[in-house]
Amino acid sequence: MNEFMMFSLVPLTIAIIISMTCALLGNFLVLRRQSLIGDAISHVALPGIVVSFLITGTLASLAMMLGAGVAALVTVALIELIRRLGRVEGTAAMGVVFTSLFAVGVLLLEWHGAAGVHLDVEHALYGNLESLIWFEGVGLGALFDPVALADLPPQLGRAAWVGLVVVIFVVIMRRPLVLASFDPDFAASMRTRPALVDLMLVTLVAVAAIAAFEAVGSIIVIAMFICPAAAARLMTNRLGVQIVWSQVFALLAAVGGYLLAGEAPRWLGFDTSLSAAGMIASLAGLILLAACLFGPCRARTGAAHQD
Amino acid sequence: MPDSRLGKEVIASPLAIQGLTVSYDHRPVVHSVDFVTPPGSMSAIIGPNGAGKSTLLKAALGITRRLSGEVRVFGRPLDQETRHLAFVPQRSSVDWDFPARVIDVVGMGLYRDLRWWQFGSRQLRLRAMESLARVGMEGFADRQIGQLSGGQQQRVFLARALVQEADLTILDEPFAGVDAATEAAIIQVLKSLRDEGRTLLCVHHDLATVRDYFDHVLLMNVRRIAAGSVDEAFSEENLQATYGGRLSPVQLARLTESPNGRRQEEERRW
Amino acid sequence: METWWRALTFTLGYNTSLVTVGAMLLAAAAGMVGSFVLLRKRALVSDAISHATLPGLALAFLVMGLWQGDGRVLPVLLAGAAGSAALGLWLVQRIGERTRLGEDAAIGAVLSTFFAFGVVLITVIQTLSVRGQSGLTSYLVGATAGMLYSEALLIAACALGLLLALMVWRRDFLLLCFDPAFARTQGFNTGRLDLLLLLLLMAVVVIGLKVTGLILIVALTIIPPVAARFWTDQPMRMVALAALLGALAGYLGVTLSSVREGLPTGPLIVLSAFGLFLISFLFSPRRGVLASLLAYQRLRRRVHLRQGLLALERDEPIFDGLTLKLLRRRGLVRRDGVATPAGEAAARDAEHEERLWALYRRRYPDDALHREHAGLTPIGQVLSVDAIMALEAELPPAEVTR
Repeated sequence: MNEFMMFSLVPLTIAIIISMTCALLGNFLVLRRQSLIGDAISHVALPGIVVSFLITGTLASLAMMLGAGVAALVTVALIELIRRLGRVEGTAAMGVVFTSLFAVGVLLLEWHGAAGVHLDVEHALYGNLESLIWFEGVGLGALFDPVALADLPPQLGRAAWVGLVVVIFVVIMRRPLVLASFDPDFAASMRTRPALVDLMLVTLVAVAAIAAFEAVGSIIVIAMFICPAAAARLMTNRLGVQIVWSQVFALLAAVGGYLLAGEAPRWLGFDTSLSAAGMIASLAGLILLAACLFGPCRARTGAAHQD
Repeated sequence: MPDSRLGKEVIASPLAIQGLTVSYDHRPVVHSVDFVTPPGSMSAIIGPNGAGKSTLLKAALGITRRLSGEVRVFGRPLDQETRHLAFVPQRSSVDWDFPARVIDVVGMGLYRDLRWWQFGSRQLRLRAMESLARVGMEGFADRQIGQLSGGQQQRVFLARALVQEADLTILDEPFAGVDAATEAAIIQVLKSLRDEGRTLLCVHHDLATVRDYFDHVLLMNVRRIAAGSVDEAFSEENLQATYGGRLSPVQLARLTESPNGRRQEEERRW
Repeated sequence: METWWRALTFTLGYNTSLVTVGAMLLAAAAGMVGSFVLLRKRALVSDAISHATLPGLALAFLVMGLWQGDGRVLPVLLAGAAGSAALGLWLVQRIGERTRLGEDAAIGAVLSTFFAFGVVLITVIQTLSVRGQSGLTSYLVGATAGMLYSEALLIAACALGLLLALMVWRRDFLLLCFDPAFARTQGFNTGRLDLLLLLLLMAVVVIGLKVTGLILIVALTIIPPVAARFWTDQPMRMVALAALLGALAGYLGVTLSSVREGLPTGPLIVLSAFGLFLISFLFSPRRGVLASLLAYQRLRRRVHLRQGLLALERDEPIFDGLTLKLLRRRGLVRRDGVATPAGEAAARDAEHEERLWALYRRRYPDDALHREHAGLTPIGQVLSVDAIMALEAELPPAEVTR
């Protein structure tokens, strides 16, 4: 039990919060056929963090969040700029921007040898969920001990805040979000500012990606955005129900993946553990695969047919 | 307050467009178009493909950015207006695979009446059902929108506009790809709206039905060619100018004849 | 600086030169295949392919490592990468065809899940005592420094082969991108052609892994084609130009990376490509941003000026701020919005011009459709004096037309 409190409680909680938060936003990305904006934004978290490190010299969480947030907004702005002014197709514009910014991040990292201070490419890509140890978490009593609680890894609080903000956003903005996702022209005629709603959604995707970045790395977070929501889409034709399914799948993937990463090698007789973030995403992918094969609403019905 | 320098008909009009220009690729696709929608009319915007008809509507609604021009709703600038206009976009502009039911889509027309903490009330649901009944779709309220036929989708869109109870309803090609029964049903709803004193503005493609359906027309091909009542503006010369000589003389003669004349001719043929 | 110059002139040793040539050939092939994929509007499929190589790479490394003690055998690793990339590609296709999910979701799901599984396998490798583990990370961001002669040769030869294959099939691919329905009526098996294109894309990605790394190889298939698109509207020229720009980016990137120890090749190639893109994006005279913005502003001013003058002539009030400003700046109206004598004359001219154009459009509708800006350009610049005289003669008196 003590071992669980110290080594697993915090990473598991963070994994759950992040999975569910990302899946919630992912529902809208999948519906708008904009899943790849999550891809783009999570890739540019790396350059954002590296630049903020080079400017401030710290890896303090606020600076990192700001850096990654700015990078995400810059990315979205650049994509829109290239798409509109250059009349380049959206996905291609995305490809141009995120790969270039990612390249900047890698180059700066190698150039300045920032690698020496806990920041290296591998961590940025794979994340490091297991390192979030709660040293004071020596038993159930620690949950009520203010001294021990103060020692909780700061990532936990950050993830919780981000999750809360995302939930509040989705609740308050649910109608404009749905309208802008389904019929942006009609939304504009109703003056619900679909462009602003889009921007807010993308900003929150960026915020969620940053919170997830430290824990699970920038590629695996894409799985958390897309897989549970995509699988949920194949389960139902009602948006509300879809969101519930996506949360269930996210929870399942987080808990299952975390346990599997810790336990699976032990069952096979090895005394090590596997990458928890990788396992969670792999499990999410398997859930999606199952939904693709057996989901009750997997087939397309709504191609606008002509009479 | 409307500007005192405005003309009387502009202040009375639910949508007055002046000098509206929209450009794409350094080229005007709509150039300096003026049109004052007469209140209580049923007006058609007519022109060949690529004439900028849909673009004109979208710019007039503030969906597309305009290069120049003024749009006024009852004499007030467009930005201050939200309640007087309802818009029915082209059916093909949305993804019908969206997870929503018919009643959800109609309910979108009521979003302005709801604050974020409110859930839909029974009264609002009744309003949505009433609109659905008006287009003959009340039996489909809980149907998944992906399962509808093209004509049914168009009726749902119309119901969503009806629920807004707007003074002016703007429709972008409401008869594109729908069956004859739906077309008849839609036109009946539109005519009943006009009889209530509301105004309708449609992008329309089928020249053969213009005389039967509409009382005013705007003929355009990037620029305004002519506008006015069907009897005045829907003339052979104007159509020729709009379609750039792409209509044959026989076609033109048939289109611009008065309905009575056509009926006589058809009887003769039988 | 001096090292860079020597690298640029291929005098930094045989190995470096071979790597440079190999990277250039690879980038050219990537630019070509990327152009077709871009025209087919599937630019980010290569992103899914490249990330999907990781589990195959890791698995091949694991197998070779357990068998021979060292997993760094390039051909085997590439074969493993190709295997898992093919599986990923197949999944993207099937998800897009068989379910209601869009291709975007399929791409995102495949790339992230495959990558994640690859990461799991890497943690497995880390627990085993297999030599050359650090070699695996070079596939993430690319490293040409310390590349073996045989490896460089393999990459260069494969890239050359791909380039030739693309040359052979270029017309078929173009037809496929331009008009698949027409291609089918011409007896092409478009399904198979599409598959061939994706397989070539996959081959480029796999071969490029060692050079740019799996995250950045996608850039080589997207950025040069997008940059090339700014310079030409003709597809075959765009393909050729994309190959050229790709090769140039490869050349600059690899040579730059030899300047200092430990500079990663992948990012430098990508940033060179981005630099070329940026130049195209900003300065291309056809579709570049500066040219477009200038043209937009010019058109806006002309339209506003013309509308203002017509409003003056018709005694209509002018509400638009920009119109008023333009008129005032040219001395055509006074501060209070009343026309100056010059303004009255200009307004008369504009009205006259407008009526001439209107008459012209009515008389020669087909002809008028072909003239860009018909109506905004002074009619004297477009039509001959005789034609204008003829129009003038037909012009009805001013009052009747209004």
